[in-house]
Amino acid sequence: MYILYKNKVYNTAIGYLQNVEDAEEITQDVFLTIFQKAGTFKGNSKISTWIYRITINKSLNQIEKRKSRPHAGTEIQDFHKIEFNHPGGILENQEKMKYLFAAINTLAEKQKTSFILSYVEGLPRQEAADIMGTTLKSIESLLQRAKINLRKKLISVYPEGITKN
Amino acid sequence: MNKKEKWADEVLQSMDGMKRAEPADDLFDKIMAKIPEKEQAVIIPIKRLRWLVAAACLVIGLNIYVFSIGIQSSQKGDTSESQSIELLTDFSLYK
Repeated sequence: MYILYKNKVYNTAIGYLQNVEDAEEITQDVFLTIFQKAGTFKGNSKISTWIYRITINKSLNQIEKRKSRPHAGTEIQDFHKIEFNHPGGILENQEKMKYLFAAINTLAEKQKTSFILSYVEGLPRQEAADIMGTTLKSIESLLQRAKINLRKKLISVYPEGITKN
Repeated sequence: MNKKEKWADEVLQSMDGMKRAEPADDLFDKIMAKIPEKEQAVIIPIKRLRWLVAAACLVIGLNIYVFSIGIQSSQKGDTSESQSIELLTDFSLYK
């Protein structure tokens, strides 16, 4: 089971947390929960759906914990502070991806989840809908809004004096 | 489309061709270390395993023995039945 799901769990967690150590911690936590709660899995959904839900819940809880920690700085300052490089990204896109992941962080929870599952994790829309317990139409609408909001956010934080590569 | 919009679209497309991130190789060991020992795979001592095997063999042996006795007795029953039929036909009382 670990071999089958480790990358799915880790990649989803890193999409939310944008930090290697935190993603590893969540991955450990998810597999410990699977080990302890396997008996309670009723088989009403696919195992992968159940595992993705555990991962998402734990990642969102971790984000909540982070938010509760006191920090100084405006949203814009926070945005430019993020230096996350997704390990699976193409080298030439790394710089742009930093901005993209920082923008993903600003999305509302459902938009963020739909975007991470569909684009970071690369799941089919229907599977993302099953995981989120919603309809295909709703996922498409969430993704549409997520893209619009990401675009707006990116335009607002455009780094002046950028050199085209 | 101005340069900001163009840049934003490029950033949105920067995930094209992205692969899944993979955890470090030692993560599985870290997870196993966190599972309490008593919850890990139940290890049966060889001594107890020998007793279990011996008990299983005994049960299987007894089953075979009882089964063979059953077959033998049913075969005996068949022969005595056929003999009695022969006796009955030999007398030909009602012919």
